[in-house]
Amino acid sequence: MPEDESENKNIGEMRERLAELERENRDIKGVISQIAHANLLSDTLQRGFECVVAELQPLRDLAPKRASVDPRIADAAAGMLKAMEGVVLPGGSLGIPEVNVPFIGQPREPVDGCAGRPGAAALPPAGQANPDQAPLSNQQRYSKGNRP
Amino acid sequence: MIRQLANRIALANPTGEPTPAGAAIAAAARVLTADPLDLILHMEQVWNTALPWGPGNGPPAGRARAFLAAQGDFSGFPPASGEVAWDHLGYSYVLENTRAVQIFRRVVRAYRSGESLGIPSVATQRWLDATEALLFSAANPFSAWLSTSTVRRESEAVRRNAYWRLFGLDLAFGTDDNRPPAYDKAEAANTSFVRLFEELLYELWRAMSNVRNIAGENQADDDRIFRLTEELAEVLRSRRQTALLSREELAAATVLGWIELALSADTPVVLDMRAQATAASDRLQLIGQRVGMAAHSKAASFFSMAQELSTFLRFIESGAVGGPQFSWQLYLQQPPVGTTGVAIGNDTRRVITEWAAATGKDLKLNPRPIAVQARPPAPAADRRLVAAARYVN
Repeated sequence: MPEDESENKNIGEMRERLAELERENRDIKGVISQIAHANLLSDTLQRGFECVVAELQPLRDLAPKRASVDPRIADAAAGMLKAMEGVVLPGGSLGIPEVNVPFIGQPREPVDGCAGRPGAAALPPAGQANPDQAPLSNQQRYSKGNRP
Repeated sequence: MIRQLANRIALANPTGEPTPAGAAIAAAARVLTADPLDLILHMEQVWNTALPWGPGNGPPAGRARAFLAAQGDFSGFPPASGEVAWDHLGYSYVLENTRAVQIFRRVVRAYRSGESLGIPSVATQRWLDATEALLFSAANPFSAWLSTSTVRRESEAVRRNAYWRLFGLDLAFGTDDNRPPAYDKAEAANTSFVRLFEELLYELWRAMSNVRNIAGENQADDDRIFRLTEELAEVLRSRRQTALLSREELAAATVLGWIELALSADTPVVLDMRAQATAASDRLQLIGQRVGMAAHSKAASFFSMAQELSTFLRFIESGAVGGPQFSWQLYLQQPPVGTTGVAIGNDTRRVITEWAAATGKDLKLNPRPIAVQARPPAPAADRRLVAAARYVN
């Protein structure tokens, strides 16, 4: 019987020692986890990235400080850039209308009262075709002796 | 000057076009078929309105010149008083690097000396008149730009001189017949421009890549951005004292703006040259093929960044970034919440991308590579180990 008691005592001591070692192991793991930020990984998996952002928030102090620009300077810069704005074309053709160009001495097609004649509207400005003439090909029409 | 004029006409929409796109097309057509004298008069108006010497020193134009300028077809579309309504010299520099001016010189020569390119339409003949006057100093009732004379005859040489002084850069090519260019190379030139500019672009890219960084260290170095911006502004302003180079800048912006507008759509000259395409660089390549002169291989990048580079350089030169706390204006796309200012991040991003493409330098990597010292040759045994390791790997 005394032998049994002695064995039980040994077993009890060993259990206590085991529990103590487990505690030590847990503490060491915790320290290592903190050092390696592995706790963040488990937090991230369990609670999302908000936790990571909160943990690293102090580093935001290293982020650049931004301030409002003096309104006078901002207005001057905005005005300068606005003055530099250019036209934006959608591409494709400009569609500038053109009509047939007569040869020297050929009878002109428009009749009396058309643009440019006395008492009529003025000729169209540069770059705009005469609306009284039907749009034709850019190429002059050859006829009679003019044909090469 | 040209694209700004077209924009002002499009905004006024004198022909009552139903859509903004229609108004833009009508405005571009009106400018491209304009009488060259009207364009020259408007340029005088823009120059006079800008008050380049400040309001205290009065406008540059005398009574007669101001009166004549007011008679032009575009006198109803002036910029506001004091506005610099033309692009920065950087815009002209990158566009001229496409070789467009020399290509159009051949186009004009071919059309004026024969019919090898076909019969030009009326609109193209109007365009040729203006191109000869604007680009190649054809005689006009009064001197067009006051930037060429018997002392400095070639407008291209005047522009090369301005590029050299402001950027310390020459164009990527020589003369039309590939001889070295001859121009007055000023002693005072900003030869440090490229180094500062590329380092600033690198820092701005680092800042951009950290804009959405919500956790951890933000690598945007606003203080360095500010210092580089400040130095770049000082360098540029050192060539601009008492509005030096402004007249040359306006003349160059007008010439290159004219070319950009002519290539920005299937305009009459593009149609007559049978160079229809969807991009300005492609149109230029096709026209270049027709006249036997290749455009720059990076022309697409030059066209893509011209306007943004103009905005970027003008902004830097204005001194709007007056401290590290204002550096965000250069790399954010809009002001941060609760702050006011002008954010040109979109323009900066385009400049970084296209400048890198045009120069072949990866600005998104560190521009200052680590210095590597040459190591002594390894002993024979080590060499065998190295060879074995290579084989294993």
